[in-house]
Amino acid sequence: MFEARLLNGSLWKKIIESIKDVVEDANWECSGSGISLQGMDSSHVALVSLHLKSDAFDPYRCDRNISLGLSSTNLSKILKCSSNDDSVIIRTSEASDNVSFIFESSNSEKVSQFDLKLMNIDSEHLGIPDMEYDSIVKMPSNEFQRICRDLSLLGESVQIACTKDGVQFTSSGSIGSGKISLRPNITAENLDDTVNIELNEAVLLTFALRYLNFFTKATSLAPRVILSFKTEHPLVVEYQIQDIGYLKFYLAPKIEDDDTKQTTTPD
Amino acid sequence: MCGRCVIMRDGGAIRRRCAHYPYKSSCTADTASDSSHCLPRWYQEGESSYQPSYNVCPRDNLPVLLSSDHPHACDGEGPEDRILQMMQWGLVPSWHKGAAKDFAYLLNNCRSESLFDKASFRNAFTRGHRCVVPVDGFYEWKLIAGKKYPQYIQSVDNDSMLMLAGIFDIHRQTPDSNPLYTVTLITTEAHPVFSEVHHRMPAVLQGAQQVADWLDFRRVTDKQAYSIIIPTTGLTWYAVGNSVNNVYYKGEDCVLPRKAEPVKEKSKGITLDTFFKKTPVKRKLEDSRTLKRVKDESKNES
Repeated sequence: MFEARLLNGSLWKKIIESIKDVVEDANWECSGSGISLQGMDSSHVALVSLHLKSDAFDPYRCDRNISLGLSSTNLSKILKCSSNDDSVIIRTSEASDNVSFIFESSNSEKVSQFDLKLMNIDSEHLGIPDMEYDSIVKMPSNEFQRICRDLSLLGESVQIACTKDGVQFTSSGSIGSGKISLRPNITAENLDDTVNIELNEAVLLTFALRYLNFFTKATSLAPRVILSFKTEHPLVVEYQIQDIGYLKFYLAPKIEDDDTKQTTTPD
Repeated sequence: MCGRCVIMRDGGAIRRRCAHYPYKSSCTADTASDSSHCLPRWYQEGESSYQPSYNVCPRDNLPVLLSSDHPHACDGEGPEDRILQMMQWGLVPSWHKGAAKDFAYLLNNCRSESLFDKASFRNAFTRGHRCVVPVDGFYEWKLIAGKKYPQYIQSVDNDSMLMLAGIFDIHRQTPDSNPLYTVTLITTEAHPVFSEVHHRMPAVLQGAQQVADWLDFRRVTDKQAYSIIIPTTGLTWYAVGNSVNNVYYKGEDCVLPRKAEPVKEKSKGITLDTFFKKTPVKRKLEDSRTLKRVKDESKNES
């Protein structure tokens, strides 16, 4: 038996909307510690790692570890049937092929139940090593979303440079180029508006804006975003979901190479 | 193989480069720069039809050096023991019946190993139709990472011509029609030094004596001549541009060294599999067939 009730049901909607562009089908791993999900996009460039603590749910009952194979698209369709102030109960049993989503209105006058058929999804769990990052930037999540959106008007990739002076986002394409610089700002009135840079070493990395724009759909989940950089390693874009969990995105860097394109006609 | 070559000198220069010690008493050394040498004579209208080219291709005409003892060359026009004659590159055997253009094979090269085996070459070779094609250099395509890049190969001695061993044949469509002279270049296994460019190379005759022996079909037997054909060194090469790929392009820039191509900064996408280790996880459900169907259906809907 598995049952988890989340009072703030709209959180589910936000989470699913944040990940569904990256991960189509994924196994939701339910255990005593909470609900986790890990999945990669089809091209293996981006990875989603989500964890929601069991404390986030009331009640939370997980008799045995269970894996729920679900399509993000179908899950999104079902969750759109809930109202923002509904509480959401997820319920299934080990013998069942279905998982039930029960939406309860805040005044308990309306209860809706949707059953989704479970899928058998072959997945590979990736071991993500702990590492020390060269640079960690903490900034307002909406600012990061804006930067990614604006620069994607110019090019497909963004070059991110972290130095002691700040962080610089650069993109260029056929119509021109753009450069957005943020200086560390720890004096802002609102703590959420500050830009903190922890710098061990300066980094210069390039990433696909297409994926960053997918990731920033999670902006509504957290006021702050944490960007962790390490030279020639994936970028981590992390959103802390209140104090109940996190949503992390990993994005492989684009490596510059000097492969030249040469054309010859064979003899 | 050898499918393109360069003959950039004018007719007079080729004659001078083909100067040799006379072996006929009648051949005088009147016009040679070195008074002890004599120069070959251009056969018939050969010199006027000759055009220098930086990209000589099969089916083009090229100057060929041969002994004037060949019956067709004994036209009584001069006492020289060698002639330079324009011939079409690509052997058309004498036994071919019909028009030369209908000969289905392009025999611009002849493997030395098959000189005695293949009828196309054996007939010409055993009748002593040996000749030399003097070239300034030739092209070979070097395979680098799955792509072919043209290389220009010349003698280490910049000013000298390469004397390539060949065989020629004479084809007549009908007994009364004009003869067509065609030539093929003999190739050998590449010398180990050259093998970095290609596994075959043209047979380059080294020195005046080898040229003389190869051409002197009356004195030097087929087998003796055959022993001359060995892989040789003394070549140098460099990459050239792609203009040589076009058979119709004969310009001087064919032999210019290939320009370093601008390095294009290209972003190479790499995947997360490079960074994270995989652990396969497979979820077993009792009726996977049903569930797979469900998955397929849901995909169709979306």
